[in-house]
Amino acid sequence: MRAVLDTNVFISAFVFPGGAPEHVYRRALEGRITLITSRPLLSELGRVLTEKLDWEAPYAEEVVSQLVRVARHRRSTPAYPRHLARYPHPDTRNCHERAPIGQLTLQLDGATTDTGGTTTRPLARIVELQPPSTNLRIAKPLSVKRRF
Amino acid sequence: MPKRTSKVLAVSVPPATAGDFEALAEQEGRNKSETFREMLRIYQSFRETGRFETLQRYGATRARAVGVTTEEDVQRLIEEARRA
Repeated sequence: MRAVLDTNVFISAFVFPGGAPEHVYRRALEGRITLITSRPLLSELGRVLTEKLDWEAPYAEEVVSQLVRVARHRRSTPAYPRHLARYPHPDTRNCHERAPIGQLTLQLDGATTDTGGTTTRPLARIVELQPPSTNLRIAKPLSVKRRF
Repeated sequence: MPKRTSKVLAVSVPPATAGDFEALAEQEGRNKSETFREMLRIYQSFRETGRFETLQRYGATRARAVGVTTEEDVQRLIEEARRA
């Protein structure tokens, strides 16, 4: 199974022992799930650890190095969508970190979702991405008369 | 010429260790190559877990020092970093 974890899940795994983020990360270390990361995510992770949590650089670099060893990385590195960063929407905030199209992906994030007055914190959100050929199979086949 | 997809690795171990390894492979129902690959995977996982726990101890100390106690605090810091 392939999974995309957002930055907050990685950080929570590394600073809060015993929580659900640690549990998920340990599964990745054991090879039971495959993490998908990207350069923007790793960059943000290192920056938040050093600038916001006051980690010494060698420790933050070791975290990023471990992710480089453990996870697979998207080859393409799209620029972080600034409009999403400024006005994050629960359904679109992590779109840039999703796995390539065509895979059944378990997207694990700790994103806060506003559900009409109550706030929930989902650990896992299943996102099924299907290739365009799926729609072709669903569509009614064209009737073609062969002419001889 | 096709590129090799495997490499023969010769290691030297005491006879008793070789016997243990062969017995383990037999118990697992795997050949020796498969058993070695699985042992290597588990050892790598063990090492990465050890590194993770070391970093986590450091991280928990730093989080307490800067007053980060909840996952909401973490999310707030990330959003601050994204706005910067």
